[in-house]
Amino acid sequence: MKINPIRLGALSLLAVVAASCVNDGYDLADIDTTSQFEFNDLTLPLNVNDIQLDQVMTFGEDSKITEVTMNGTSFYALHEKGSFDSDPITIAKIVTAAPDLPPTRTTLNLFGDLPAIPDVEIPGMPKEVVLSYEMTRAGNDMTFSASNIDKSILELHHLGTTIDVGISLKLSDFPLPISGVKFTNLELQLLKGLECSPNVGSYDAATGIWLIPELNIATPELRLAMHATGINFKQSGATFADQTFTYDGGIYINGGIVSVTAGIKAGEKLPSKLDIGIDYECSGIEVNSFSGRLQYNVESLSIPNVSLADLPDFLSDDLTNIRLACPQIYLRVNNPLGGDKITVRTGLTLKAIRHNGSVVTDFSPDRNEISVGYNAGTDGPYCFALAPSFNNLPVPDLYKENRTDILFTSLSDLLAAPRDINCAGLPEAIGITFDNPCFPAQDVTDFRLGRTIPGIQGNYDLIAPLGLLDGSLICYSTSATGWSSSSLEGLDIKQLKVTASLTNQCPLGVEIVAYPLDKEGRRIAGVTVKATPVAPNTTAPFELLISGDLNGAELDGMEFVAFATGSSDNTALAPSQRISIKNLRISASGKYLRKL
Amino acid sequence: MKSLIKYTLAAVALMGSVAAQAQNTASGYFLDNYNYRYQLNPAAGNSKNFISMPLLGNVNEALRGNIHLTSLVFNRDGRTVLFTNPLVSWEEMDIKDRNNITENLKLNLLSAGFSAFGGYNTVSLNAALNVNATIPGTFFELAKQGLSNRTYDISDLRFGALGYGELALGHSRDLKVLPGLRVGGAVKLLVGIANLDAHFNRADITLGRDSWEVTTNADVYANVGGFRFTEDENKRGEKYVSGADLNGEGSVGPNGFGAAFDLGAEYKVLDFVTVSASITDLGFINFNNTQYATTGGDRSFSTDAYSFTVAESEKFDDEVDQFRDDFGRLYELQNRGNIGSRTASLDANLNVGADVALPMYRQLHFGLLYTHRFGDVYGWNEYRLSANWHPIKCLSANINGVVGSFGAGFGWMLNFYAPGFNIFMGMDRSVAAVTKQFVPLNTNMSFNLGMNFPF
Repeated sequence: MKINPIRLGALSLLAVVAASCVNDGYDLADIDTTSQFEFNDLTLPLNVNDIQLDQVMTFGEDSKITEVTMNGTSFYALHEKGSFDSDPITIAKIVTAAPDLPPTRTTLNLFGDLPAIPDVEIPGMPKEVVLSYEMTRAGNDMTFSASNIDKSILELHHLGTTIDVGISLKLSDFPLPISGVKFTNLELQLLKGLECSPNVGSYDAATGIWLIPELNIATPELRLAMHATGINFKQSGATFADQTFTYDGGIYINGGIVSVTAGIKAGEKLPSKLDIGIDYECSGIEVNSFSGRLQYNVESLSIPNVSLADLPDFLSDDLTNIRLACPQIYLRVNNPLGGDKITVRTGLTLKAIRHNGSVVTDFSPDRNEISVGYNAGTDGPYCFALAPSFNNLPVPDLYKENRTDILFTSLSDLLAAPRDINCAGLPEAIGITFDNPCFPAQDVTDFRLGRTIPGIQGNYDLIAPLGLLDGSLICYSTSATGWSSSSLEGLDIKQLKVTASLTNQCPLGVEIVAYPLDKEGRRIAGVTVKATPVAPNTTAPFELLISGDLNGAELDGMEFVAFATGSSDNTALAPSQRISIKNLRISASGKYLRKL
Repeated sequence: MKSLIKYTLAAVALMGSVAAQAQNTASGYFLDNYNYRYQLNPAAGNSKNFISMPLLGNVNEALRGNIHLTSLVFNRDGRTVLFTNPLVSWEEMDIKDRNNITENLKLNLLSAGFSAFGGYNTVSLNAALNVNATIPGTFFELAKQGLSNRTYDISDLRFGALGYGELALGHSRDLKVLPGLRVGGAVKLLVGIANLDAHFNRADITLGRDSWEVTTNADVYANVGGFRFTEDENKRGEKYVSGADLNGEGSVGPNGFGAAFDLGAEYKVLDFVTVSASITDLGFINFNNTQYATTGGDRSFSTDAYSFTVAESEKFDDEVDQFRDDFGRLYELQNRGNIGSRTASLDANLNVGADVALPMYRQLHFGLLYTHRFGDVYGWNEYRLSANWHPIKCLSANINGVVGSFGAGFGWMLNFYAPGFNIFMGMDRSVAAVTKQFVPLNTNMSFNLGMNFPF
């Protein structure tokens, strides 16, 4: 075989060149850098410290929901306390002016026959003779009247007042020298019902007759005065209607015999008539006290509304509905009229105020009457506890003394959304009002008028521990958005799962849900979210499963919604309660597609 | 990013395309009248004296690897896509547990060969640069298959480079005590120019369902004049290596000395059968002024060490910062500065060959060469079968096929050997296909050319 070496070499070189061919399928100048990175059920284990409630429940300085410590125990509660007082108590005296009593002058006729002049006559010496005259009725009517009497006075039975009545008689123009005057059976007509003890004679309050059987005086002038210290209203015939006091009566001399002992000289005649001038006096009435019936309405006894505007975020959601397990209201008051043995009574209404006051729901004790007695005197204290139940009630020390428990079943629903009205969320404010606080109509004895008595003073303490009953729901929602970016556009998550072993030491059931949000802030459609609720006071597995086509181009954030549900456990949320999360695992499956 | 990828690929391609010949082209081991066979086996001598063309006497460039452009770039629907494209499956990628890329450049500055002292003598002045990189397959698996709860071992991610100059003096002769036996040797004086050895001793990432654990352990040694690590400071006030520059003490130049030896033998068993063996580059270079950065042993990171306080944002943020800082410390190297001298071994080569000529046509002979490159992670081996043809005095050529650590390939060599002038060229591994930009799709390619003057 002859081999042409030149030809063979050329063929070899051609083979080499031909072997290196250009593959048009590979163009490094135009590389599609689209890349996909997958994560398949990738689980990220995380350790999370126990969540103690005082770490998550933070309140503003003005928040009415705050941490409360009572008897060494701390818990969270709607809490408001303060003091209140009413206007001073004043019931004005009943005052009437003194009546106008003009004097009278009357001429008395000789009573019986003229007496015989004694026969024995001593020269220069007058003979003594007694002349009797019969008194005729003379006097004045009078009326005491006072209107606009304090409306708290319902009835008058007795008036404590001073009335001075006086009558002055003066024999005038008697022609003979008088050596003595004797009044016999002198009968005066005075006001009825007076309480007095005349120095002479006797006074009959029922008739107003002052009868003086016999009274001797040496001069021709007689002044009779009587000081009354009270009025028996029933006997007096006075009336009290329409807060007007009317006391009619008169001051008269009804009759009697006036015997004048005079000296008569020879030749002188015995006077057959006697002139008497009469002056009348009567003071006005100033009632310092009264017995009767009184009802006093206490004014300006109020407590400012408790604003809930500064609620923490987790209580601000519209879905939040709270039925309180053991709300309590404590009152401590005095009784300014306790010394007068007068009781006080009031009602109490709590108002859940919504929509700027356009929706108000009232809550009152089962028997809406708070009665303050007088057994502890004026200062009291008189304490009241109002609650749906009184088992193990942690009564603050201030309110323990002389305490009365009042059942207030509906108080549990103070913060609850009203069922019959389409209202969501917690109230904006809680109003606390006293309903018709008063000293109710009651008999009083010798109640002094005209004094100014400090009003009702007291303290209140509204404690609504956040122990939530069945039907309660706290909904807390927060969103983290703004995730949208070009780098997220290629993210495609098929499933996101969060698992943990959750120990819930709180008296609330807990459910945490997370919803992916789109750029418009809407929950992304087609994504299903399942969460495992965890019952109160249990250790249970927790799982949050978000599955669906979760595209990073749409995804702009997550809305985290936490639901806390009430239970039959009356325990209030407390700072020391914990939620312990163990074995937290975040698993995701999906892919990330983008151009490098 | 797209541009970065393009430039990176282009750079890799350039490395490959510049290569004209293997460091010491194996295709020439059996080729007649190839002047540089002594570099493969110092027992080989030439029939004539020669002197090389300065700088162009023997240019060797080899790029070897078991990861190819076709493992990283694919054609899908008429478009060129990256391996991370969802249309590319992991199974298509042909990624090995350990993916090596090695580039060897050897430039003969001046060589001469002459017969004297009872044998054949050679003097060579060479410049060599070896660059090695090893990327664990887990690295690509992580990128391609995505994260899942398993352990990723990215240990032995390495990068090394060694540049040096060499003055080699060789001598070979026939031994009369055993006719047919020829032995040779060379002694090489080495001048170290640069050495860089970066090694992730450990990079274990265990993404467990109960905890994520990461352990790193890395060392970087650098011996280059003027080289220094630049530093930055983390939040804890600890300095760490943030980069490097050549603004340190000294300048690029000789930075160490060493020696190496080549030994070889040929034995003509029969008139047409010759066996041979050699070991080359058996030596080391002791570099001065070693800049050293290290993690200082194992650094561990465990998610178990962190507990987040979700209820308090400030504490949560603090823990996140701590988490991030500690994670960052995994790859923060401490600059230990100049630790003095350090010895870098050369990767030795073992060649064992057998050459059989056709008895009836001695111009055609066949050779089988086994080559083993020593090196802990960069080692490789191959078997090469060549058909060598020497039809006329002035021309020799061969074609050869190779299988080995870098797969199968095809090589060739052409040697024009005229009186007073010699030129040769060849490829230990031919480029089978290239991209539009003439970038070889297969990493394994080499190029060898030279111009010499025999006399």
